Amino acid sequence: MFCPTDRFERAAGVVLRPMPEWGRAYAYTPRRPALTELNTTTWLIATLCDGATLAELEEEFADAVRRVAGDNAARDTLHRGLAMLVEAGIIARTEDAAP
Amino acid sequence: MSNRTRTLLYLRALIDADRTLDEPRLEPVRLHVRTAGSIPPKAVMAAAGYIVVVWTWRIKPEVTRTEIEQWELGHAAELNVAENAAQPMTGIGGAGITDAETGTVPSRPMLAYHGTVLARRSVFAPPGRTVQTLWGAWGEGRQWLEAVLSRAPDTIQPEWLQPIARTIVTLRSELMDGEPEVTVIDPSLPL
Repeated sequence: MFCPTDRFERAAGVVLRPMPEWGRAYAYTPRRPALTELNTTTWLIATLCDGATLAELEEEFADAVRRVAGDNAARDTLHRGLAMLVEAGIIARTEDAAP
Repeated sequence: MSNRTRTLLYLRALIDADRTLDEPRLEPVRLHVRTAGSIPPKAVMAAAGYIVVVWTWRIKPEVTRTEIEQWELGHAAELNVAENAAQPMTGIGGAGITDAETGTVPSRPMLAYHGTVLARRSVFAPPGRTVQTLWGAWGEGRQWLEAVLSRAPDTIQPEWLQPIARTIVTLRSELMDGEPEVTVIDPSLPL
């Protein structure tokens, strides 16, 4: 489970290579040498992760997909995608130390 | 406009066009070490009359990477039979071939599957997933390869080639969208 104040950003050394003509992106994770294919949804989530908090991500993601998904569905999808990206070592989570 | 902004605009447009938000998905990309490891040096390939047949094909939209990998495993298993065991490569005239680098005579199956890899297409290629499947053959394997890639399984002799041909039929009928683009690489020809 993530906290609203957790911050998310691309993990150190990860290379994200968009392949727009395929609607896919590929991530290379040097720490656990692997190449991973991201579909449109995980690619969008990974792109949004530039140090933003979870609360900010929820807002940005919901705005990006508002034509095809309601707020609740967007939030659930975002959380599932974030969990996968963190697990794969593509996105790093930082717990916010601020009081 | 920053790259990030451009990417976000593109993704929004893509999702809007699809009219649906796909489930988030990550798929490992298998790197096919077989491709590099199982093709002998060019001089040896040329002396043995080695050819590589490349099929460039598009995956049907509903087919997953896992299904392709399952097909690969089944196809490779059908090739791994006693009749196709690795044997010392010989030149077209029947003489042995020595690898100039190692001084040894390489042993290879006459008919080999080198793997299916993501194809690098130009940005002008139509959207969709395109891959390349590579087979190699030398000696009598050249006729075997031609048979399994182009003929109905039950018409092929020897019979041990028929299960291999059936996996090719599965590839064409269940995984492939349309017809493959066929390229034959003959290393005996100059670049």
